[in-house]
Amino acid sequence: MALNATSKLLRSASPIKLLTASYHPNVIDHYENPRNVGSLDKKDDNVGTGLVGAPACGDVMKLQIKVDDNGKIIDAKFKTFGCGSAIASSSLATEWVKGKTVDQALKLKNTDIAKELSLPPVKLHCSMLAEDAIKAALSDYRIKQKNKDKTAE
Amino acid sequence: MHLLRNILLGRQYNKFVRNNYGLCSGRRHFSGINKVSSISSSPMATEVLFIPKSPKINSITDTRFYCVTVEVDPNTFEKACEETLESLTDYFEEIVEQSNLNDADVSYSSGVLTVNLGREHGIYVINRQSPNKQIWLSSPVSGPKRFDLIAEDDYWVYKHSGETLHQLLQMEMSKVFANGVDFSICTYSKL
Repeated sequence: MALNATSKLLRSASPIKLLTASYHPNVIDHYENPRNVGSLDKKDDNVGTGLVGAPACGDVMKLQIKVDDNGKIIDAKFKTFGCGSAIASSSLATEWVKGKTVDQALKLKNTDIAKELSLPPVKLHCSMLAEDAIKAALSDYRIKQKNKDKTAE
Repeated sequence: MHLLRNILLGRQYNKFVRNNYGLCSGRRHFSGINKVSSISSSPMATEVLFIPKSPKINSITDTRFYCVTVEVDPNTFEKACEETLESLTDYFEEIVEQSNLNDADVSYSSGVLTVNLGREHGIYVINRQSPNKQIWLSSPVSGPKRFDLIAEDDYWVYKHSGETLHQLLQMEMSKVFANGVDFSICTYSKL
């Protein structure tokens, strides 16, 4: 009896309204159909790996890029442990860096990601983490290339 | 003596890096805190603790670090954080009340201060982030930032620019509130 009353109460609280109050459709889209999940060979000289965040903080993002000889990003993969916004931000980031040059990718800003996903104020930090992940991956790639040049000399 | 000190520092440094950087697992992160707090009892503590700025570490990933505020113990952080946020809440309530922003609203609950300045100026969120021992700020003007507590001087700083939490608020709020603001009256402020 008591259970019935509770479930009626829950139903009357209109779950649909509650759902629309949480995440923007763009976030849900990326969360439910994340693009480019996976890994690239981190030992490959043409692959840059960025790992940001920390488990203790709640969010970890791994973003990898593969760059061809012309400096163009031909592939990007990510794995993220974190909230829906963090997952969506990194998914979107991989989508956006693909096809860009390294320099173009560096110009990608957290504000662009936040805008596309309509992130609320508290979730802006997730888009910042995605920007950091891109920068870390690009920096890793550049360090690898420099070391390669050195050994070639 | 000097040489000995350098060697000692070098050793501490390696230990510090091993335990705290390179995206450690949760457990290692916390074991790192224990190690450092045992180090901080030694006179060399401050020098060891400022190592995060070392170029060697930056070259590893060249990125921001999120869990490096190991020098503040949890109790100090919680107390400072609560006082800071409550003081900011009080001051925001005061300036919003005195202003002519009719659609503005200030609310604080369980470590999250939300300052809604209305349609024109947007929403600021300042919140406690206990795992990192940081205060996070989300500004509609300058975006997200993470502030670390400088316990010995009682203020919060964004380590990448050296800007303090209250400097940022002072700057951005003085543009919102025509009558002027003075965040130096809040606790843990440094302008």
